[in-house]
Amino acid sequence: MSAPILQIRCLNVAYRSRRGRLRALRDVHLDIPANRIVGIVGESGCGKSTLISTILGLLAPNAEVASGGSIQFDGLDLLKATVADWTRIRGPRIATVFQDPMTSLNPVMSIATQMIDIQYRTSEPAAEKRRRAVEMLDRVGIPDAAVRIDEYAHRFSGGMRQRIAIAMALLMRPSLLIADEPTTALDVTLEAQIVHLLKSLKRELDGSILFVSHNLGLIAELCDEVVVMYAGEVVEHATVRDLFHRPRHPYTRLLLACDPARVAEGGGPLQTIPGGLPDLAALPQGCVFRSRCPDGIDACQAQQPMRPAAADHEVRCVRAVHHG
Amino acid sequence: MAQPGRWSVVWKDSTLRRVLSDPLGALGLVLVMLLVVGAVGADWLTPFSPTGLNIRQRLQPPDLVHLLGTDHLGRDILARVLHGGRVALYVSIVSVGVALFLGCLLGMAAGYGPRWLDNTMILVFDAIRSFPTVLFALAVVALVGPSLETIILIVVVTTTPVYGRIVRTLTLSLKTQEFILAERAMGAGPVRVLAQHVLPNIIGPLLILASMEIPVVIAIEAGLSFLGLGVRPPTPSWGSILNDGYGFIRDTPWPVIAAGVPIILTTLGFTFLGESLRDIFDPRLQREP
Amino acid sequence: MAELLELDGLGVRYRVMGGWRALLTPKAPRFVDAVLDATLQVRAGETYGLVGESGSGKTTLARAIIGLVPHSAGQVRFRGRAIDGRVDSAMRPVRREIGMMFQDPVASLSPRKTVGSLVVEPLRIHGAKGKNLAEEAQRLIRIVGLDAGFLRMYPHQLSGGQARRVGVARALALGPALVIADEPTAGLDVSVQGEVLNLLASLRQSQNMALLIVTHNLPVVRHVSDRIGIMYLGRLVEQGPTREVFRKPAHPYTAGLIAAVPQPDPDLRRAAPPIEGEIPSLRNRPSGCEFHTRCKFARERCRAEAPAYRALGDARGVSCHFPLA
Repeated sequence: MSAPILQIRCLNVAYRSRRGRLRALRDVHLDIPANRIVGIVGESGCGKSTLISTILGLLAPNAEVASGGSIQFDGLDLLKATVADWTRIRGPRIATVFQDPMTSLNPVMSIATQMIDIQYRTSEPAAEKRRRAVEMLDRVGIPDAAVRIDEYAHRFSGGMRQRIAIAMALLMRPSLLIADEPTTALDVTLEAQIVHLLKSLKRELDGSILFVSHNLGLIAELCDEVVVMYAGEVVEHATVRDLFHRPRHPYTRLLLACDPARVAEGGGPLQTIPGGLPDLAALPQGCVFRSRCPDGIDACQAQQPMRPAAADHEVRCVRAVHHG
Repeated sequence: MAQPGRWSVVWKDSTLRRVLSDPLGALGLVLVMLLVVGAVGADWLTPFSPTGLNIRQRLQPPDLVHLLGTDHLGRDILARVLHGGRVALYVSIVSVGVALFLGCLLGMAAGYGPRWLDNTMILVFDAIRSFPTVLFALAVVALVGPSLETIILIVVVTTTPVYGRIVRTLTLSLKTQEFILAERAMGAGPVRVLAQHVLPNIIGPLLILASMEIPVVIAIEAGLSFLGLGVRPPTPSWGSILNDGYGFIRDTPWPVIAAGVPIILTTLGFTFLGESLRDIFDPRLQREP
Repeated sequence: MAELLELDGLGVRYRVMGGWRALLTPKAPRFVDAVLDATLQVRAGETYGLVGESGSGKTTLARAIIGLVPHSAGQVRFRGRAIDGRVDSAMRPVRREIGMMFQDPVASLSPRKTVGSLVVEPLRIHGAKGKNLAEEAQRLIRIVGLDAGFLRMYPHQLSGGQARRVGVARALALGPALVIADEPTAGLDVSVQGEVLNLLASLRQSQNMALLIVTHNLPVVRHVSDRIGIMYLGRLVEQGPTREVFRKPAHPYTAGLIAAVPQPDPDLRRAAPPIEGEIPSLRNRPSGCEFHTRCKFARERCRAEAPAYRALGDARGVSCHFPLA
């Protein structure tokens, strides 16, 4: 097995705010292997946005990354990357697709201009760059790509814009594509198309995808391995089948039980997880899920590390490891 | 989760603290307070009357008795400046207040009401706005005669359309917001919607606008009084003090300075205060969690 | 059992081009039909789920019922009486009996009013009839499972879930016979979606309330509604008891929609997206059956002729020449 393309170790990120220090990410260790689709699933406040921002070097000015953490990519620690490093990395090596395609698309430039501009690092003639852009648009399913490439973003529907954003992201053949809730704003029929597109592109991509979502169905549909986050910590990391068929962490189990798509139809109230997230500025001692966990024991009062529960399956829960 | 009602939280989040934490805002607040205190306390801050003549003491430079000196008729300039502050406050607050009130009524009607009403209002607003202000002022003064009330009338007529347009735009943007739709869905009539739900949400930006208009009106009054079209003598107004002092500027610069400086300080004060308030209330400036 | 709410051929049409431009471009579409020929019934005490994607017209339909948008065709009847929606005074008695919950829970609460003031707003509008408003506020806030401390708060201080509950409390203030909920779970995490839905279900029981849920979320609607209606481009293409429709969908769009929902089970992955293509623009409606441009089973007749809405027995209906069931 080749080395992981992204290695996160001991990542701790906090935000300075009027309420105090909000510890948004704690003790995050994560490997993204080559040629895999890794899903990050979590609800609001779990820290997945902070994690993506940290990887991309786009944290807000009031964020503090604790020393001792590292994000290894391509022989470089991204936490120590300089502006020159980022210019080299963002785009050709790590590309991103966001929830709102207009984050990536400039409304006052034609698609052609933007897609040719992205390729500025290569020294080919403009015609060649254009040809490659048209080919990519065609590949992502834009009809009549050779003509429509000269149009502006507002002429395309939401689903089309997202396809264009994906095309732009993949144009330079990055080794890591980060997709942050790329289908949340789309209708379900379009969502299915985009997910299918990502699956087929992945086969040709020769890279990895980091897919962030709160939608368990999409994670199951697309990912090879899954990371579950809760209140700033990684609480479970397993292959996709293991996670959905043999979930170990109480939060994961409850989350799956809450999803109406898992529930047999009709009758009876829907499961919920009562209580709320702990205050990130005043975290309680011990396991972060303890206040809402139905299965707490004495040992939960201590801070929990990630432990292996089975092959390729780690969990941050003392009970899960022993009782399975 | 925020716990409302605790004093420490109230103070931290309060507007006053946020204004004071901005240096320019704090300065603005201080200057405005100076004006208000000076104007309100005019009778007590100096033993002299603003209209008391004392020809033997005319055109004296500042000394320990007359802190700002005396004018060409021997009147104490400090007293005149302080009373002039009253005039400035009176004119500006009344005219801005009335214009704001009328502008709100008309603007809300235009923004919330039927299309034809909106179109008519816009026509009226723009027609009034297109009339040159100075000419209009001169015409009114010629018709009605110069006085403070004339100034107020001029200011109200020329600034009501400005507020009206702004209120109309704010009302239009609120009209499609979900909470307004919810009120209509519950059966609230237009009066209720406008009074209870539109007005409270637009009053903030309007007051800020008004606070930045006040120095403009003070300057208009000063200008008209300087031209002799404003207050009748012997009522002191900063503009009339300037006018008088201008004629004697070779003898002593003090009247001009004494009238000019308050105008400048008041303008700066209200402007800084208004800008500080606007920055505080701008919803686009995200606050940290 | 009498129908509480009946829509009979309801249409909502918007003008998209002003008079002058229309004269100059005679061929361009002047109007857009957001809702076309919608016929459905909601009975007292039942939950009806109205399902559709963007452009389906479901939100417009909900707003047309409550009178926020004018009807251009057809009729809405509440308790047998036609309601116009255009005339506010005629709508008043109806608005006492229909409560509405909006999609964005925080934005639908007036930002400068406290929760306590917001939940009794319907009472203020329609006359409190001797009720003590403070007591009513306490009662309503308790019914939705929030404690009295919330009454002093402002909307921006509430979480999404809390704001939704306040919306429910407000919708219930006058004891309505029907509550229309527009995307009641949008923006809510899966772990708290159940709170709002369970609350609505229990209230439905205790108050014998009918519920019209408008949503694009199929798993949710499957769980909570007795009957569902599927909308596409402003038309109702299929209706029926939820269980039946999910088990054996009759319209190809319904089948595709159900299949498009990703299942939280990696063993149930789909080989291909069930429906290709994009939703056509409302300005450029396809001919014949409007779904034919994306339908796997489309034949010549579908392109040429619009299908009529026919009953399929057992309170089911579908608008398709070649229904699947």
